[in-house]
Amino acid sequence: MALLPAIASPMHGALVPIASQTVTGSSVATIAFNSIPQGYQDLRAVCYVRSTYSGADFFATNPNSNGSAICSFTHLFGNGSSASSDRGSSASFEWRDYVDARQTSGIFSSISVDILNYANTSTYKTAIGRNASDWNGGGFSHLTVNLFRSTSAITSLSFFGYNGNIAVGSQISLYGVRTVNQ
Amino acid sequence: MYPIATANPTTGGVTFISIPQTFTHLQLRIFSRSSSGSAGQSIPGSFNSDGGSNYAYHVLGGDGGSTFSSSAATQTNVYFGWSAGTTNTSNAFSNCIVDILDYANTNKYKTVKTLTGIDSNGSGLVGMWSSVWMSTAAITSILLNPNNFATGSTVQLYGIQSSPRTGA
Repeated sequence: MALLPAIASPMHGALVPIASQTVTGSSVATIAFNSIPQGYQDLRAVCYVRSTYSGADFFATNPNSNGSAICSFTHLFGNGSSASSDRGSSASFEWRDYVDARQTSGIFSSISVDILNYANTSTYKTAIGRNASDWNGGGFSHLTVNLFRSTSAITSLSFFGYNGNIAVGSQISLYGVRTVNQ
Repeated sequence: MYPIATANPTTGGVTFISIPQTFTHLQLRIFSRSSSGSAGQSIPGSFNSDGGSNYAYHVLGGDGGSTFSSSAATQTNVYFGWSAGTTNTSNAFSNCIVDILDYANTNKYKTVKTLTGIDSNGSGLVGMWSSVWMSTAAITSILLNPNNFATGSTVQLYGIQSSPRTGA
């Protein structure tokens, strides 16, 4: 099927800021984005985050306040000496290890998440993420794909760590990715 | 990043033609399921209707149990990552984010970088593909997945500027 391209207004970029939250004062258990606008093609979350936990911690995202284990993931990662892959089921999108309180202060993980077709109501939702966590002598590079087995549009995202709070200085920005005629 | 074109295929492949040459880079954002074939199948394509053996690829991936890498030269297709297939969980689609840098340049071969993954609740693939098209021609058209997209798939084409656009 051949489709002619439709030219969008050249003056409006595709990446539209929706909201941004920075942790100030004291750490928080979650950073939540509610009532996400449904008028974009995709969502992108850009996370610069650190855990307060003094041990290994995983960063994750709960879509639509989902409390059931209807997410699953496939994961590829390297720890500086070897590469591995695993999979599992969860109630959340998993982005895995992020910088924790044992590491030098001022170091944060850089995690980017794309959720394509988040507003449609006929397909499950797939989210893909890149996680760069290096703490000068240790760390991980992660690629993770997650499946949310729900046809509901994604209307909220709650970011959290499995073991600790999200540390002061962490920042998460949410963007809409618009396509033509949006 | 500016939207150029959108496609919501219900069958067949997708072709973007007459791609504007005014951007610095291109990005494809593909939400894909195929109406035929196996789980986690690759998404073939071509540039400028070139069906010759002018493409090569490398892939690095994980399948949930092991890691792998492979490559091939003198291919007749470029690859844009993985698609869900008919044996993947119903309603599951892959994500592919494809960057094509300096696509309008007429002095360089074209390199394609793809972040891609499909999870099917018990199986999956995640990784990166790189491909090269051994042509210095500017990319003016892109064909994706002549093996057939399934209903629900979407393909978005974006242009990326190296400086802010100006004008009315």
